Amino acid sequence: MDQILDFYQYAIFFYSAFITLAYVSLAILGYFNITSKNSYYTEREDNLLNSFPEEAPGISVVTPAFNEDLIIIDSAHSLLNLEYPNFEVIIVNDGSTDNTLDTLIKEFDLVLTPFPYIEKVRCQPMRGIYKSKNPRYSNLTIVDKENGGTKADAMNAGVNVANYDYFINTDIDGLLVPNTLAKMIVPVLDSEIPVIAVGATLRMVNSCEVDKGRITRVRPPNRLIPTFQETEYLRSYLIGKMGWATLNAVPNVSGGFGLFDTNVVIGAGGYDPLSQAEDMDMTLRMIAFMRDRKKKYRIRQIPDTCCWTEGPSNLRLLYRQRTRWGRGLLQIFLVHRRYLFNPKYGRMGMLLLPYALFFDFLAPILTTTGFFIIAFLLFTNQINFDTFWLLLLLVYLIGVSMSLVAITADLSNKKLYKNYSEYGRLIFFSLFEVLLYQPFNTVFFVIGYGQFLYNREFKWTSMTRQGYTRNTEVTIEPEE
Amino acid sequence: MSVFDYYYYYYSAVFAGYPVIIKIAIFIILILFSLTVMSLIRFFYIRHKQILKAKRKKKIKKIYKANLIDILYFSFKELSVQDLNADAELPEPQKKWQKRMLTDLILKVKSDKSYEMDGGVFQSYNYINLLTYFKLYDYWVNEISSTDISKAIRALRVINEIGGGVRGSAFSSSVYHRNGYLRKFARMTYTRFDSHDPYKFLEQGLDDHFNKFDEKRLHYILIEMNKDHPIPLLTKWVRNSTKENYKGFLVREMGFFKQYESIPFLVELYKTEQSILVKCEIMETLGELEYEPLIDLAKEEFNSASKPLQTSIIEGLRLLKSRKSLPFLTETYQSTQFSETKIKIVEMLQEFDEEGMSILISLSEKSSSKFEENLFAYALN
Repeated sequence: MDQILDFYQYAIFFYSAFITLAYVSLAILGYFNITSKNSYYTEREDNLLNSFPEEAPGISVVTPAFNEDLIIIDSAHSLLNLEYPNFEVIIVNDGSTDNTLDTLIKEFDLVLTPFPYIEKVRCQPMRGIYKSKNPRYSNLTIVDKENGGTKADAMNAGVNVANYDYFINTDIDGLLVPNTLAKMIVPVLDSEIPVIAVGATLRMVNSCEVDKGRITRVRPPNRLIPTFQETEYLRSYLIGKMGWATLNAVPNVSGGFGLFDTNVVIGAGGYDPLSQAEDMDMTLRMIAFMRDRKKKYRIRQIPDTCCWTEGPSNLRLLYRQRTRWGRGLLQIFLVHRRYLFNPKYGRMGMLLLPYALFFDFLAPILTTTGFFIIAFLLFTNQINFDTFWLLLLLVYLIGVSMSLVAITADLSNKKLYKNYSEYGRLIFFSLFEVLLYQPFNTVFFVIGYGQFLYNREFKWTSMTRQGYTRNTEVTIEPEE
Repeated sequence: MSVFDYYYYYYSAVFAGYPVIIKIAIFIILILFSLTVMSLIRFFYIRHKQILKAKRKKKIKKIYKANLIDILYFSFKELSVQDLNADAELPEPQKKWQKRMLTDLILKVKSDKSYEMDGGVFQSYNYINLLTYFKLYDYWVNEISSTDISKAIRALRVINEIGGGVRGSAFSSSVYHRNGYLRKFARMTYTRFDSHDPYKFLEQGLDDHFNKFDEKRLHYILIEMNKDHPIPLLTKWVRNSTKENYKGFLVREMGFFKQYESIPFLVELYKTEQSILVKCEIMETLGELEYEPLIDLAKEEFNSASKPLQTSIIEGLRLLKSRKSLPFLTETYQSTQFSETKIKIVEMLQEFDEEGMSILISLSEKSSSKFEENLFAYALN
């Protein structure tokens, strides 16, 4: 027993050391990536596309909606008001049981239009396509389809209707920054090697002021869980993904917001309706599609905040989100195990997935086990308190230092909060994240693994919104 | 021995006695702690810089803005450098930050159309003399040669926005820089501003790493150059180029600049060219250049062409807008197996008013699938 415990403690120690090494390396890579992006791409580069509409590549903005009656109008207007010369908005009504479709029809003067629909990727049957009689909304298409139970199925319907070579995948409650489309397409154009996807930073809209689908005042969330999540997102995007992007090994272009090459998505078979983590699943299959055909590719990440989304505001919602992520992660390794440690898939097989397996997937299991072992050691008086505090400090500092690096990177990229004290708030709460947030996160992930193994069925439900400061206050109870 | 030395040796001795694991742990903690402290210092440093920048911006605005608006829009007379020099309210900026911020302010005032709506008229002569008097040209030309890549890129951006007053020699160090982004940007800026040999780099294929974003930039630069003097026939550079995307770009520009003289060259090139990308561009450009025999070429090539080339052939015919292409389009609609090609043809036929509509109606009568029924319902709606 003692030998097992000793081995476990050593293993955990070296595991933490490797995590630190990986994080510090990613932080360094991310820093250089952000610095070079900032000098290469400015508003002037974005404006170049706006000045020559005929030169701007078309982009389809695809967003699924399920029972979003109360926010659908604000969201649709927000998307239609994006500043880009050549885009279309496709809203997929995924068999909503409320008035989502009727509300849209009334607001945008929509009529059922015959449409030469080609099913390039599989999805539930389409009921009809609606277009507006008002020429002002000529770039709006509403796809009405049977409920497919997942966002992936609705996305596939949108991809089938998309007219352009690139599409944005976003959630209906996500608020996009007006010049987002130009920001996302410039890295695609500025590459000799085909760019198959681009990711950007997502932030919490909770506590921001919003007027007619536009953010008028950015604030850090005032509730505890979204505050922690804001810092967590900054770490994930500005350190993790920006760092990985330097090595062309971005593991996941977020399902909340990302730009994708339409033909590669179709070629890879579209979104998997059975996947619990359809975004990571899609990213991995797109990479595999390119590598199988021995084609070069790039996945880019930009540091700019392009999408604002409402984060879980209480433990119940956090539980729902994180257990889903946990289920999705485990599913990824089971479904895509053939990519793991497979040199044919290059960095994805030999670096990205092994990293995700050891540091993303195993971390919650090891942390939970570690908690019980510490409790056991405490109970049996086997803890050496001379060195225990040292190792505790190490674990604590990993989180705090990375949070600080991310917050500073965000400030250096662009000051979004009005006051520096609001950044101070993030810094202050990051000191407590390890104690007040991470334990829940860890446990919820482990529960998610368990749920997946017990094979419970999960469908996408309407989001419970606490509502940010906007014209339409929304609170819908979940169906789950 | 000082207290510092005492504790240094004391803790070194204690540390030396620890097991390896603890030594590693302390080492990692020191790294993370340093990172934390460095991030905090950097946070306050950025904060300080941003506050300082805002203050300086305010200061520059206060000193210059009203005078600049007056000189650039409402003076209604030409002011020489000497006149500006005599104006006590226009102090010459001495520091680098002053020059940077003053340039930003001048460019902002220049691009603000509200002054013209208020009755002002933009005075180009005064604008050039202001930049000369403030020695802003010199400052930005020096910045192009900066060893700091981000500074050099920013300088090129500003030079492009200022829109003149720079010679090609100013870019001598950056046109061969090892940073690809800077090098390509410098070459394009050189093309725009050099008066002796502006097409030097276009002739050489611009750059080995030419990409789609460079196409947009170069397109903009060619438009600007064409405003002063019509750009030369682009055919000779196509001949010299070995890079297919650059070739394709030049072919497309021939269509944009309506270089009708290039048609025989393009037809000949189509026969010998191997690249599908270039062939696609040729087909579309021939349509853009209203080359009627394109219809015969399309008939010859369509069936043996790859899907992207077929799409370009149809796009070329769409740009040609010739009624003579209608029989070919009708025939192609009936023979093609690709749904997307059918959609494209139907969309094209819609553009031919009554004649197109009557063809659509006759085709719709023969529709054999749900897809085609929808397609014609969509087109004839």
